[in-house]
Amino acid sequence: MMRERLMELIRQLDPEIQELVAEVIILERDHLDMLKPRGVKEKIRDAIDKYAKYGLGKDEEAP
Amino acid sequence: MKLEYISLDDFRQFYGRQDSEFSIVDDLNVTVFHGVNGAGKTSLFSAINWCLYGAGVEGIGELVSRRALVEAEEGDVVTTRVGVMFIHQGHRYVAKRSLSVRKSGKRGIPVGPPEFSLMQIKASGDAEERANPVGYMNSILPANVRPYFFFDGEKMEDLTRADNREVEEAIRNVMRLPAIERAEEHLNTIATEYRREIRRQGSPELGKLTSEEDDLRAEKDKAVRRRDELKEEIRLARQRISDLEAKLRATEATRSLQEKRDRIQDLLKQFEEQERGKVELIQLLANRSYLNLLPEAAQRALEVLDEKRERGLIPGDIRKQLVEDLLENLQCICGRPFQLNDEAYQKLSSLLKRTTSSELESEVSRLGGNLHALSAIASNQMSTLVNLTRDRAGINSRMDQLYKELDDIERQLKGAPEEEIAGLERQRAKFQRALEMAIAEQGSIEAKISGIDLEIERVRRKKQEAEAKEKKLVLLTRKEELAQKAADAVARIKEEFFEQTRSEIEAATKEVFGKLAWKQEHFQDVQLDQDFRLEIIDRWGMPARKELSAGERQILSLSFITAMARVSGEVAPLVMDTPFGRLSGNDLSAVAENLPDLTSQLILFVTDREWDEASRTGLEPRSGAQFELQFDMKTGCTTIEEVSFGYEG
Repeated sequence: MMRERLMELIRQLDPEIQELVAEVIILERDHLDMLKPRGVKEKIRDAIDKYAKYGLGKDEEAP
Repeated sequence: MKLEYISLDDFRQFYGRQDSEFSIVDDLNVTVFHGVNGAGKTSLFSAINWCLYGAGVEGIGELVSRRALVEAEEGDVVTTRVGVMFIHQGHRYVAKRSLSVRKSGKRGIPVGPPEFSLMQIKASGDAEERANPVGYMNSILPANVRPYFFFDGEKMEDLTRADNREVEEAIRNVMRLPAIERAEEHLNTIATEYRREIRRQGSPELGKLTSEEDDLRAEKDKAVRRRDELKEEIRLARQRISDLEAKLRATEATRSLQEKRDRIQDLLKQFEEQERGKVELIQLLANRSYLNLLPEAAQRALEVLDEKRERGLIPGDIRKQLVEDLLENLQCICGRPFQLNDEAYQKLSSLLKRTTSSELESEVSRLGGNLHALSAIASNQMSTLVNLTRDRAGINSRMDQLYKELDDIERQLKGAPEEEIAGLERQRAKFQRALEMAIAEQGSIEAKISGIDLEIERVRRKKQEAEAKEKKLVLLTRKEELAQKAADAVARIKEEFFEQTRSEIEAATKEVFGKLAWKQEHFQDVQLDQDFRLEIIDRWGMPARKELSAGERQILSLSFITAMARVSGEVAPLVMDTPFGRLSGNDLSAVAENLPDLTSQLILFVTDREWDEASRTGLEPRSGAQFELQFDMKTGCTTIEEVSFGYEG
């Protein structure tokens, strides 16, 4: 229920950042749960890089 | 998550191996452990918490069974273990935590930290160990959410105290808000790092704009921090005022004055609400203020039309259609013919300029009617506006009077001969002023933040133009743009998500409280306000939280917790130690009857006194398992005995 509500809010965002925001929140959640306890900022940077390159057409496939 | 089974080895007073199976059947979702005080209910409750989260125990050296320790030789290692089997999302897991101690005299000295493992049991019968058991357990039910599912019923009523910090924290944790907050923080930090890089690599113009944006964002951060500080100051001031007023209410000499102040404050809130409604309507009408100019303008236009009619100009003295027919037929009205462009033709043609068409005549009539109607609407609007303004003035005057009465109460209390009373009131007044100042500053900070946002938007537009000229920075500027957009979006989501959640938990708490409290007709409403204060409204529309009994406060807390669990969507059992300690009579019956419906699994640790006729009647039809904790006076140990309670539905 809570996740659906959050996803609904994310779906209302500008399409170019929807997936990035969802991915970053999941990364942070896993980090807080200690499921992935290290390097959350580095993972966020990687995610931003991936979506930026895709947006500029530098990668062939969608992330 | 549903708990299936627990085993204990030499854990506190549970000597040797003790175990029990929890009921997980949907219709029989209640498991009850009962026993006299000291039989080991809280130890068993702690064993679950300790096993799954390493929490809920004091004195780790005391976890090992004393009997096991006494029976060991000096220097021997004795190990206590708790294992909990549970099902989560279709998979079965076994969590185990153990602690080994070395016997030293009468004590056990831990030989290392407790060990924790989490195994997933496959359908094939194989077991797979989870590499990160703490993280995995947290992803199933986070450690900071545990206290809202595994709790001591007697401490639960704390949630209803005026201090709302715990309620806010509970919602924040259950809704996993810290993850969203950290996402915002990290995205902002990364966007700032990208801007630093752009400044380093980009043109002076781009560098200047980037610095400008950074400065604005720093200014905004400062304002947001101040806003958060003010929010906390406001919360604390309200808390202190509420505490001081409670003391004045509890003091015989000041009770009537404080109660009068309570009534006046409630009235002021109502009047403020009424005034807000009037002001909204006045603003709506004021936005149509051009209509107010109409009566005079319409009147003048009607006078002009009438004057022209009187002078025969409207309708025109010669009909246009008549002259056009004469010109077309080349024949005068008297029957005399004339020629195209001769003198008679020219004269008739010149008359056309003085004619009036039938359409124009109709339009003039319609205009006259419309002017009359508009004039009437405008007059009505004026009269409504006058009435609203008069009503508002009446409300303001009444509020002025109430504020004077509040001042008078304050003056009386400050001047009380008892120094303690005067002191309480002086403190209250000090916090009241601090509160009002903080609220005023909060308003101006909000306006400042909005202004900065507009300025940031302007700078970013200019920056985009400058960035477009610098191709080598395309990827970097794109990353900065994405990071900042995502950070701003997360900030918006966070606010909206929290507010939606608060509102849903408020509605759910009200619904649950309606089921659990037997005085449903007396309590009309449950509110969870913007400052996260739980409040009960009675049948007279008055706040009644302060008058609730201990049992009713416990029910309110229980309603809030179960509402929060429902809204969060977390599937976890409610595990309650001493759940009914403060409940009796109708309250106990209502809770016992309805609680099993509010959760997927209910595990209760109750004293013999709590396990009375009322709780048994409510819970036994839903119980799938019952156990009695039997304490042996000779050995000082407890055994868990399954009870056959013979309920057949």
